[in-house]
Amino acid sequence: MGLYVLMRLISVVPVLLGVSILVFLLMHLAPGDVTSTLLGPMASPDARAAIRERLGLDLSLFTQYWTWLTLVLQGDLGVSWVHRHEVADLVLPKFFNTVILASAAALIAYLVGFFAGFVAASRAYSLSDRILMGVMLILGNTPLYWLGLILVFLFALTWRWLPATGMVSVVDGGGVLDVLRHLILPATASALPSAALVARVTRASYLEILNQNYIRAARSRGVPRGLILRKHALRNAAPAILTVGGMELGYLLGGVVFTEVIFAWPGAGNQLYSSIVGRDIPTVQGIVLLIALAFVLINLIVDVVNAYVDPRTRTALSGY
Amino acid sequence: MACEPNVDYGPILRVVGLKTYFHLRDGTLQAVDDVSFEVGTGKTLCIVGESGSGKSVTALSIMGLIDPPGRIEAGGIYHHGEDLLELQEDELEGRIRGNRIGMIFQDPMSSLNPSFTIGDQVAEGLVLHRGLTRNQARQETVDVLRLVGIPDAEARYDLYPHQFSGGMRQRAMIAAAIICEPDLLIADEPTTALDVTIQAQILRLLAELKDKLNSSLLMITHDLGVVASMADDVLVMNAGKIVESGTVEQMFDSPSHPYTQGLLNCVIDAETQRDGSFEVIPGVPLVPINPGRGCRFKDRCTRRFARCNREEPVLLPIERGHYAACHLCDSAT
Ligand SMILES: Nc1ncnc2c1ncn2[C@@H]1O[C@H](COP(=O)(O)OP(=O)(O)OP(=O)(O)O)[C@@H](O)[C@H]1O
Ligand SMILES: [Mg+2]
Repeated sequence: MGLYVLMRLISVVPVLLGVSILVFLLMHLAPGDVTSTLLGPMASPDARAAIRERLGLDLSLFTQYWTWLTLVLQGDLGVSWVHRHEVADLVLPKFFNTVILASAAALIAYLVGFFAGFVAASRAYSLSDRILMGVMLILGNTPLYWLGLILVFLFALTWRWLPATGMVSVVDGGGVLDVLRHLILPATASALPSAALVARVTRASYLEILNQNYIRAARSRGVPRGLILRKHALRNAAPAILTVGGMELGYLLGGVVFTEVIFAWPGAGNQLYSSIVGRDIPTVQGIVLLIALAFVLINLIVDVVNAYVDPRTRTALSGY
Repeated sequence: MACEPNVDYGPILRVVGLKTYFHLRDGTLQAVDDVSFEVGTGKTLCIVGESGSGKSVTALSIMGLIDPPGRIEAGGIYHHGEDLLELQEDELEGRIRGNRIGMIFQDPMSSLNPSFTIGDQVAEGLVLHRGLTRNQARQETVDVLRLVGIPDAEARYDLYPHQFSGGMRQRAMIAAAIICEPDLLIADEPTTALDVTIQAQILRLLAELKDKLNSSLLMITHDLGVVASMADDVLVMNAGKIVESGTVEQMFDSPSHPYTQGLLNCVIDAETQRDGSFEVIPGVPLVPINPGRGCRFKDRCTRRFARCNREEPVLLPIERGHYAACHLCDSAT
């Protein structure tokens, strides 16, 4: 098992390299540069050139990337062009906020998605199955910003139950409860598309497993239907559900950008958005690297858990 | 012990007018159509017939394991006189399945859940029907694993299905089916998926267990050799109907339905023709979706006549205990 994990960890490196090169090129190829952010649109060409020289923007793309990469390999994400902070100091606390939001969203997505999929599968092809999956389909395909605005409109503006923006209240901010209250709307909004996907995968893998011969054999031994669903089928449906769950968590980490902007959540996504707009390349690179790293690590963890859950791979891998 | 009031010499299972249909998009598939038979106490009944003739659906109907789009449309399934079709699902689960009737399936490779240990699955009956904990059930389960011929049963209890060979898995399936000592054992082609050498062992095991447990056996098979060696009574099915039934001697000595004769000829040909040519009944079996009028075998029958197109033959007695559904056997013709 150790060797397997090590191999997987090594295979992460080219993925991260590829992602960073891609983002680097996209940022440079897109029109506009950081000088407008720093100096405003009216700055003189000389002032711009001075900045460009100071930041090394006049060097070749390769040299710029290489400089960045050698620093990163030493654990240094560089300095933000806009904020004059270390990228790491700027980004890590925000990334932590993003992890809070994404985890909450994932939790909601798993609970809602799994429960909906489970109920639908246990009543497959019935009216309640159709209605449930129909609702999930609609929720899952609603654009996030629209859904977010509807939620804000209903819960924050019309009924005034929940705060619409920020992470803590300005007046009595702080405490865990306050963060939780602020979490509900953004987490729910970003959770729904993932919940729909989890529901669909849960239902589909359940139905596939329920068709297996060993399920019929278990029923022939008198195993009640509820136990079949909760025990016999769940164990075998779990890998597919876990895999999509892991992918969705990774997706949420990157995908909460929209939500963070709409709900003014002080997370890495929000920062990513403003850094892209401001052409703050080191910050963008740092955030993307973190998100990509989290994404591949989550998938690695899911794969290891799955390999462990399945006795076939568990015994095969125990030899490593 | 002059008299034993509990001994019931009637049939352990009596199926009457069973109709199991599948409601498909192309129409209604009459997988089992008006089938009646009995399994005598302590007897072995073999059901034979080509692929698709409705053997498995018959077995699954008895177990109450027909799922939509399938449905039992009519009939009665009397187990010790109690109609299983009248029972609620939870009564079937709690009292009948795995407890009074055990079932063994065709493919041992896919019939065990890959995520649970062999012991876990074999012990399940004791846990569900006797209310034992897994720990309490363990010793008894190991004994049963030993009984079905699994060597080193104590250690193998904790192994997973993928660590078992096909033959061992089928032994485990048998153990799971008999652990509550059911009085009826249903085996649906239990050896088809196994090596020839192992087939004989498994069949011998089934016969031994049946005697040891004083149970009856309903065995589905393609193999007439198996029928000859194991059956007391035989049921021949074609396209959802019983075409002939009787004792094993009657079947082999005086097969009356052209379909039965065809099946027997296959075997004789396979044995006599060393060149390996294997003559099956020519033509493809009828799939009973809207089967239309007349005999369901008429299109493949070499001896059909006008009446076969008009009228569906019914099962009529030829001699005591021997029935055939063929106009040729109808003395009124
Ligand atoms: N779940 C199902 N859905 C639709 N049709 C089915 C289903 N199960 C069985 N059938 C149909 O019912 C008919 C009888 O099938 P059955 O499995 O009983 O055949 P069989 O005699 O057991 O054949 P085999 O020797 O191949 O096992 C077949 O035409 C089959 O296609
Ligand atoms: Mg079958």
